[in-house]
Amino acid sequence: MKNKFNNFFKDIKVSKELDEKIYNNTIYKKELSKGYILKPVIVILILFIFLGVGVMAKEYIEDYIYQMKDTEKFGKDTIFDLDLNEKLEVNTNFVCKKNITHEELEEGLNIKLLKFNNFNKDSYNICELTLDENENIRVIKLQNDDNYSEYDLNKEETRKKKYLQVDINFMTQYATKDDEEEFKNISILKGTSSVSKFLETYHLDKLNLDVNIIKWSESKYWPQTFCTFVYNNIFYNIQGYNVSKDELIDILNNVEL
Amino acid sequence: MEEEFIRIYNLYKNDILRLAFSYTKNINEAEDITQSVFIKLFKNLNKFTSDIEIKKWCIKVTVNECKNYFLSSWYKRVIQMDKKEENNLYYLENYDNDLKDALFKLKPKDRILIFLYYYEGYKHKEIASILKMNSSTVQTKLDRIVKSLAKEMKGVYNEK
Repeated sequence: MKNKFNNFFKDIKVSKELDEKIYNNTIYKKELSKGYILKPVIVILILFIFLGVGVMAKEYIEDYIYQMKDTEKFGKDTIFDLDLNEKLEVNTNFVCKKNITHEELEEGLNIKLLKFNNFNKDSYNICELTLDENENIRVIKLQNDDNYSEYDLNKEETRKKKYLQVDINFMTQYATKDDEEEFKNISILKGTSSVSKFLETYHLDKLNLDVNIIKWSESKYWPQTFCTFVYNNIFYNIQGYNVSKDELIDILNNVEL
Repeated sequence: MEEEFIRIYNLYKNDILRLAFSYTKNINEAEDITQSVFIKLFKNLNKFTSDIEIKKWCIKVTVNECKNYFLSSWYKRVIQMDKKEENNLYYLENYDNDLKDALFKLKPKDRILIFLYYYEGYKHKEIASILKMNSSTVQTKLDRIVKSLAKEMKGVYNEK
C-alpha cells in the first residue's frame, strides 16, 4: 500500500511557474521592498542637502545686498565728519591702567569725553594704547568692557545678558600716517560691513549731530545693535548686546557731556 | 535567510503540493494553497530550529489552508461549468485506477490521514499532534479508512 501511494503522487511536482510565483512573493519581494524604502530615503536626503545649500545661498545674497545698501548709505560724503589732520592734543605721558574710571581717564589725558549710561560697568576695563619709541601715547583706543571675551556664549544665560560697550578711538598729535590709515579703516568699517544692517540715522539733539544705528546681522544668537558717530574729532562706537534700537536711542539721549 | 528558505522550499515543495492535491483533487487549487503556505513559511522561518519542526508546521498550515479554501467566498462564487473531477486527476491516469477511484471517494479529511500515514510515513502519535487529535482516534480512523479502501479496491488491502 505504501509503495502504491509513493508511486501515486510521483508525477505531481511543483512547476517552474509556481517556483517563480513563490520566489517573487518571498525572497524577491523582500529585495524590492528594500528599494522601495531606500529610494525615498535617498530622495529626502538629497532634498535636505539642496535645502541647506539654498538657505546658505539666500543668506549670502542677503548679506551682499545689505552690503550694497550700506555702501550707498555710507558713501564718502555721508561718512563721519572726521578730520584726520586735526590730531588731538592730549597728555601723552599719562599712564593708563585697567579699571580706570571715566573721570580718571579724562583727568589723565586732559581731554573731555562723552559719558554713557552703562548697564553694568562704571569704569573702563581695558585701555589699548599705541605708544611711540619714546613711550608716549600715539593712538588711544578705549574699550569700556572687554570681559565679553570671557563669557561663555554657549550658555543661554550669557546670551540673555544685557550690556553696553563703548569704543572710543582717537589719535593724538603723535599719530603717524600709518595710524591715520588704520584709523580710517576702522571708522569706515564700522559703518559698512557685509554682516551689518543699517537701521536708521537718528538726529541726536544734545550733540547736534546724526548718529547711524546699525544692527549686527551675524549675531543671531546674541543680538547686537550699535551706533557710530564722531564728536569733537573723536570716533565713538557704542555697542549694545541685547539692546534694542529704542534702548540705544535712549542711552544716546542721556549722554553726559 | 533567503538561502535557508530556498533549501527548505526545494526539500518540501512537492510534498506540500501533493498533500494539498490529495485534499482538493484540483492541481490549480493545490498550487494556490502551496503558494500560500510557503509565503507564510517565509515570514516565520526564523522561528524554527529544525527541519522536522518546519515540515510539521507546513503540513498543519496546508491542512488549514485547504479547509479555508473551500470555505472562502471565492470558491463558493466560482461556477465551475466544465470542471469534472476526472479532468483534474489526469496526473494519475497511468496509475492504479482502483486506488485512485477508492482514494478520491474518501472524505478530504480522511484522505489527509491516509496521505500522512502512507505517503509521509508519520506514526499515529505524530499525526495526532499535527492534526490536534487524539492518538487513539487517529488509529481508529485509519483502520476504518483502510478497510473502506480495501473494500473499494477489491483485495488490495491484503498487500499491506
